[in-house]
Amino acid sequence: MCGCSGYEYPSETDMEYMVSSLGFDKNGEKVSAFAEIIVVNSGDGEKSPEVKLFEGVGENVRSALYSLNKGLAKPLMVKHCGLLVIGDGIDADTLNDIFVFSFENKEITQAIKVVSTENAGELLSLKANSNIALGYELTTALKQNSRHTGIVYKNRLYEIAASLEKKSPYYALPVFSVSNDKYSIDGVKIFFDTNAVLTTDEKGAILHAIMSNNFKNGEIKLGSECFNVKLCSVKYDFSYKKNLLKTDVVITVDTQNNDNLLMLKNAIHKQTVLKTDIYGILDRIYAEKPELFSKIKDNYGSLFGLGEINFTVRGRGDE
Amino acid sequence: MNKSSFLAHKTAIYALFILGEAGIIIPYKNGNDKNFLGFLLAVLIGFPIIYLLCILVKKIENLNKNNYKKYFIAVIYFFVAVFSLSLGVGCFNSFLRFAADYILPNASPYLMGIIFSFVIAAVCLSKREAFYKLGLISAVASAFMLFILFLFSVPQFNNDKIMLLSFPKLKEVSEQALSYLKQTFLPVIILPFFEGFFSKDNNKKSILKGYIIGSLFLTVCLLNSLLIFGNELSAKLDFPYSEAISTVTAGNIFMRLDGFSYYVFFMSCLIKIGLSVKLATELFKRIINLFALKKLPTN
Amino acid sequence: MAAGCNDYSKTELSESLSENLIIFRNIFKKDAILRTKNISANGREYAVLYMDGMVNVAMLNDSVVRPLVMVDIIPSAENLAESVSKQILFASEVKKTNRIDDALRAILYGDTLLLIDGSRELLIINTKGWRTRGISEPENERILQGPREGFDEAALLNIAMIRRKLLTPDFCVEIERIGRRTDTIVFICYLDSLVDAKILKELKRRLSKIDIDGILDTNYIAEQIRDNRYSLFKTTGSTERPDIAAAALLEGRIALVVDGTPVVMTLPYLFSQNFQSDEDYYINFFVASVGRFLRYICFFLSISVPSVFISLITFHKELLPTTFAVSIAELRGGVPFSSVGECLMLIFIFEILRETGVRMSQSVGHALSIVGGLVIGQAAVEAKIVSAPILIVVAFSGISGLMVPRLKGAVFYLRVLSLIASALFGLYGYIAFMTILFIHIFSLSSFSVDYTVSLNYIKPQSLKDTLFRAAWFVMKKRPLFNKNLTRMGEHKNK
Repeated sequence: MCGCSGYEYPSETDMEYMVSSLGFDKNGEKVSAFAEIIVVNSGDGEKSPEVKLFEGVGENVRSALYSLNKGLAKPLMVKHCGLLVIGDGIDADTLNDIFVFSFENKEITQAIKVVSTENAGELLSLKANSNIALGYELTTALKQNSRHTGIVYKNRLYEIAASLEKKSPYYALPVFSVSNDKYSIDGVKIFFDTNAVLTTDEKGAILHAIMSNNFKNGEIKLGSECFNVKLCSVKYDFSYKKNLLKTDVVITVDTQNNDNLLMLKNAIHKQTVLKTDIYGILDRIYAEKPELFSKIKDNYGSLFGLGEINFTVRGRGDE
Repeated sequence: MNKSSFLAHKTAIYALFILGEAGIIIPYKNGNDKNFLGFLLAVLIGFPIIYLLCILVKKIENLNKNNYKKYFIAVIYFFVAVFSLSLGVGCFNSFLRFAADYILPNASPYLMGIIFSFVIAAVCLSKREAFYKLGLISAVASAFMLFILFLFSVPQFNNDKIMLLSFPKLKEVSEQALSYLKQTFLPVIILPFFEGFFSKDNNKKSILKGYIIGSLFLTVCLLNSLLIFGNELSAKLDFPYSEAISTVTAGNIFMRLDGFSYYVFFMSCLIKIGLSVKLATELFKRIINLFALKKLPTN
Repeated sequence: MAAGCNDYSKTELSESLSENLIIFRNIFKKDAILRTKNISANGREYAVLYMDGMVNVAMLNDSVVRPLVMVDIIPSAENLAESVSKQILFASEVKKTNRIDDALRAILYGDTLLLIDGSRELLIINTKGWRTRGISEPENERILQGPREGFDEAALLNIAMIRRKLLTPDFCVEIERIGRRTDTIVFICYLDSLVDAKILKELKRRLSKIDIDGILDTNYIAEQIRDNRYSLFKTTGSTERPDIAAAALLEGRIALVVDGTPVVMTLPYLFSQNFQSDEDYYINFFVASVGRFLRYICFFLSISVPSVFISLITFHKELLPTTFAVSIAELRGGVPFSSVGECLMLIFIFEILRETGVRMSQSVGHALSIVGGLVIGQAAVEAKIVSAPILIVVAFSGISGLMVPRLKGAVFYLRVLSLIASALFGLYGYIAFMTILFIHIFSLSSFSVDYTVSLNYIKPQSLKDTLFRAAWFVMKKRPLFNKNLTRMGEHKNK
């Protein structure tokens, strides 16, 4: 039966290199592909598996991956790849190629987590402390961060794909930074379609989570303080004459601690300089005021860029 | 020993027939935010249609088969038989595409087709009681698996994804409903013929119960993919339910649970094809018997 | 009639004793154990013929020889045989016949022949006294609680053991003789008010079609009369326990007791019976139900575990948990064989060890367990001939299979076939194989009774003795293929 029209016996777990994370970066015109591979020590129970980082360089994503594969003794198995790292050097077209490759490759799970960092190779070359491989450790770190701050990161591949299909295709990838051979999560990088538009710090990440309704149980933590947040209302005012869209957002925070309130107000006002719809305002307009949506949808980009967005933060006592 | 009427078994078979290949490919490509409403409307419309058909088929069967009525009955039988076979072929193609693209992407689709054909032949050539029992066991196992997978998927559900963005207009909803009716619920018109031929008392209850249970199965599959992926992405994917289940984790141990969906769809497609072929065979035999001197043995 | 395939039905006895003796001596001219004793008593000549070792000599002496010599009665010349039988002999069972073939059948089965000078008829006296093994618990059907009797090779004794449990005139026993050279007696036992006449008729029809040299065991008959001869699943039951045989009769089944073997056949036989243990009905129903359910699970696991494991580590690695996949890769590294080859090899080794363990004596069994455990379990893994995960999987599968001893042959074949299907097509092949298996099981029948008849009716009464064993106070009906369903409550109002 093995000779029958293209039947190929599959390779077994020990005949492939298991990839725990993939990374992409761009330096000038060259795209680099990184693969963190778990190398098992054949049957030696005393030695734990080793993790090695391999790099391939090419003109585009596919040629970088080809170059990566070429130098290896066994084929890569990406079925257990848990993390996809996007370096800051990746432009919109390359990011589009990466997503197309990931969606088309059936072996890469749709639940793979996508993160951003300044230098993908530098991040992936760090040593894992509490897991077999760094890729798995970083996904655990993301969960821990989410548990701590209350932010729900919607950075899985299928969540990004779902966002890209929407009228307002924005999504946020958590940012890992490297300092003194240690990693930390510092805010989010916000993309509109495949264009990176804004990198925020931790407080900006909180604002984004509030506006996108991506936080757990209505709670947000800022530093060591934890308080409930409720997005009360979003009002739109479109001036046909001036061709301006004005958006008023009211956020209510359940805290009597004035310092916390002030801290959050300051954080939010810092992030109000925006030129792109990164909070899904268009989706809200489509849902709440479809007549307005039909009028503005064709030149929404320029309208939003010229318009205002005002945030008002109130404590419970202010109501 | 009393002969069993196999009512529960037939209910199970009809439920799996309705699940068929629809569970693999819904929602359809033209889905939008009115998707789920359209599906529910299609389920509601299908119910009275099948009820009326049961009554109609019984009347056809009771017609006095004299000369001109014989031709009329033969024409109906012929069209239903051809439709039934086309359903079987369509289901075969859909499942094979799922198997070749998703279950075993590296294997030869021809070999997989041959294997599936063997199984279909075994089902079609087996005794009717064996077919019924296989349907019952498969339906119970499928229901259990779909329920468990739905439970595991709940933490990943996002209710916003099926919320209506605007008040539904009848035209939009009916477009979606028609799409579901045509591709998913229209095939049920052959079930009253199956029930009429293979049941002494043409019991409508098993068809109606099977219809409700099958619709529940489909609802679970549809909701699973819509609540995880949303309308737009689900419409874009080839196999939304399986891809949705592949993102589900069970605790921290099991990462992908789409292996369970292989069994569910294998059996639902097998039962659908088996039923279609058995019915087509029976219909052709009856057509021959209407005109032949020597009668072929029918049910 | 057996006895060397010669037909003695046309040979006639004469009135002369010496001529009759010559006939018998010619028939048994090469048989050294035929014994003849001539007796003269009250002016008449008699000859006693018997097979040495088959008769109870004391009974022979007391019931035949002593009365002939000592009793001072001259038998009537008109009806000589009848007169001797009624007036002289002390035996409890005496038949007369003038047929040579009847006489041969009797003497070969341990009866004694009494030839009388001047009579064309001879007497057949019951003096059966061959040695039997004695009643002991069957090795393969041991239980912790309940009766411990077991059948032995004497069919009449076996019938007696069943009859002791069914003290009713409804218990019927019919005789068939099968085998051209062995002329083996086969007793067909049933309860007249419960048995299905169609099944009984069909059984007799199939038995009459058997044309074989000899029947030495029940299985000779079973393989020739069963439905679906090439199926791995048996459609006739077997037991060495009289309580099980009696229970089968009480459920409307038929029991075939074959002389010369302690194994009694019961039919019809259903799929659910493969998972019943003999002591299920003697222990608490909760405990019995757990065991019963475990047996179903173990049957399924025994076939499935190796094949699912192989398909996961070859075709569907994404379905494995990540840490598990890394462990598997580590442990399988360095093993020269593919996982399928390794698995097949271990399955065969396990079967070899199991078979040898059954056949060998206890002292050799100890050495065997050391060889099996240490050599294969430890040394082969350390030498990287086999890997630990596959060894664990095969061992688990093998032990699970032992939970269902009635299906041990079927489990081996199914395990291997399922493994091959998975090795070629992963989970797709496995599901296809299991579907065909289920279709096959559902298509089987045993004497026109569906093999899985309990699945025909989705009612509590039909499922009460399948996946679990319901309490006795709930089991009011017999299995649904019976003509008389009421097991309990018939005489409630009397």
